[in-house]
Amino acid sequence: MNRWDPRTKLFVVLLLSSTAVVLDDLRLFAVLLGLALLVVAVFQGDVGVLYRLRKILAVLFPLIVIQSVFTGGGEPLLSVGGMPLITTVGLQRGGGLVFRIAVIILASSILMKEPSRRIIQGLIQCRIPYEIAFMVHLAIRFLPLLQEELQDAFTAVQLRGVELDRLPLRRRLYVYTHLFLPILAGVVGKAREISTAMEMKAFRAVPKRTSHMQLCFGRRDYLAMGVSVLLLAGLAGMGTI
Amino acid sequence: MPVYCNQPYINMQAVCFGYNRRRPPVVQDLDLQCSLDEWVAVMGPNGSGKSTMVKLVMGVLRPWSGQIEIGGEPSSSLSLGQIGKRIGYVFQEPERQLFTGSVWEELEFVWTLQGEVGEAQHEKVRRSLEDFDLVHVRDSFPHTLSRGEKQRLALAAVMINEPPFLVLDEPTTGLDRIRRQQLSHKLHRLRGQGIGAMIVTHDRKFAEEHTTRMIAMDRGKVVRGE
Ligand SMILES: Nc1ncnc2c1ncn2[C@@H]1O[C@H](COP(=O)(O)OP(=O)(O)O)[C@@H](O)[C@H]1O
Ligand SMILES: [Mg+2]
Repeated sequence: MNRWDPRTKLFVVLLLSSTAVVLDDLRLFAVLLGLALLVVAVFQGDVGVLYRLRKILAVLFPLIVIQSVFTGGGEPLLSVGGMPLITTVGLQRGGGLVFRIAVIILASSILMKEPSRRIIQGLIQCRIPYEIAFMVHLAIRFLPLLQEELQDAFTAVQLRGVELDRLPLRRRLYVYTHLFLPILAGVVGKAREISTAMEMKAFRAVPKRTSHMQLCFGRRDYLAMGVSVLLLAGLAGMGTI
Repeated sequence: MPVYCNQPYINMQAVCFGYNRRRPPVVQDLDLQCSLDEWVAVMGPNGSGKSTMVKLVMGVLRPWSGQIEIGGEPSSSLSLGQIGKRIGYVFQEPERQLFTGSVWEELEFVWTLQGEVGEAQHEKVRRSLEDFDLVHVRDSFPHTLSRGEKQRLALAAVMINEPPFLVLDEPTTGLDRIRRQQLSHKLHRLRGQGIGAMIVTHDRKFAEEHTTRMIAMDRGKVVRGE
């Protein structure tokens, strides 16, 4: 058996994501990033997703400024005309958010190559209803599609004659908020197509699905889960001291 | 903008491009010239690289090797915004280039962004709505329009910048006979205004009706040019 149990992967993703959300210390983020990369290496994830989703991450960067301008306090690091544009607090909050999302994307990448049947089966064996398991699987498959549509939207807006790089920040944010529109419309449309297709294939016609596939935890699955609990609990513990 | 009459407006020379370095290129050693007074049809089977070629022309994709010039300037020295003012591009999926809350806003978008909406701009939008048969949907949400309307809106939106050349990627796919005629009508008018165009299409009849020259692509190469 040379394959990780998908439940182990799900568990590690969940654990890593929750730690990323809970952690609130910029210095510990560096350690967390190291652990995320380790997870990617061990479970054969894909660091490339960060590069492919760089535009989504870039959209989030202005949050640093927004947080700096709208949450008081902290040392100003960059001021324009007496107004603090980037503060330590803003950097911590906004930067923290970008970082959290990066870690979550990185962690989720270990699930992308897992065959969907195994993920669904893993969720079912954790007593999650089939419909929800199926939706989770769909969400994972939608990621690359989202990325393609986002890229098209970025291209289209620039081809209209908008020089994104030269736009003042406020205007750029206005553009970014608009770019999510075609993407949202696209995803809603696709979801509708899929649900129609599923209903035609009599999805839900039989209340309980049975499966011949049964997943079994191996010794190294338990080991990997134990080690990740220890490491991440330690990290979260350090963050609260 | 200077006038390029007999010189090619779009000039692609020995262009190679692929999506994956470890695979053979999708566009190979492609040569293609179009001048401003031409209407060129690009035909060829699915997957032959037509859309890829169009994206290379538009600067959306960068070639591995070879030269692409627009109006005598290397496209690598132009930003997407500058290329968009030189060539209007209607996507194969026009809904991917619409991003505002209403048809009216869509046409006004760039001016709104630059903070220069005045009576002159309103007038242009009104004229554009009439020209492209969109008056009845002016307050609708673009993503709820029919395919034909979305396409006319995308066309109207790129023509707002008044580019002298137009690229349409499979414009007749998914249009019924009446919508196709409506589109034909708009294109005839644009041609009457002296605009040049490149139309990617499978529709031979449509190509014959609208273009002065046809080229065929197969596996990333021009296999037949007239
Ligand atoms: N974004 C992409 N990533 C990888 N391969 C692609 C991408 N887009 C197109 N291709 C591949 O490039 C080839 C040419 O595609 P395309 O230019 O869309 O052809 P056409 O428009 O003539 O149907 C096809 O084999 C297609 O699978
Ligand atoms: Mg195509």
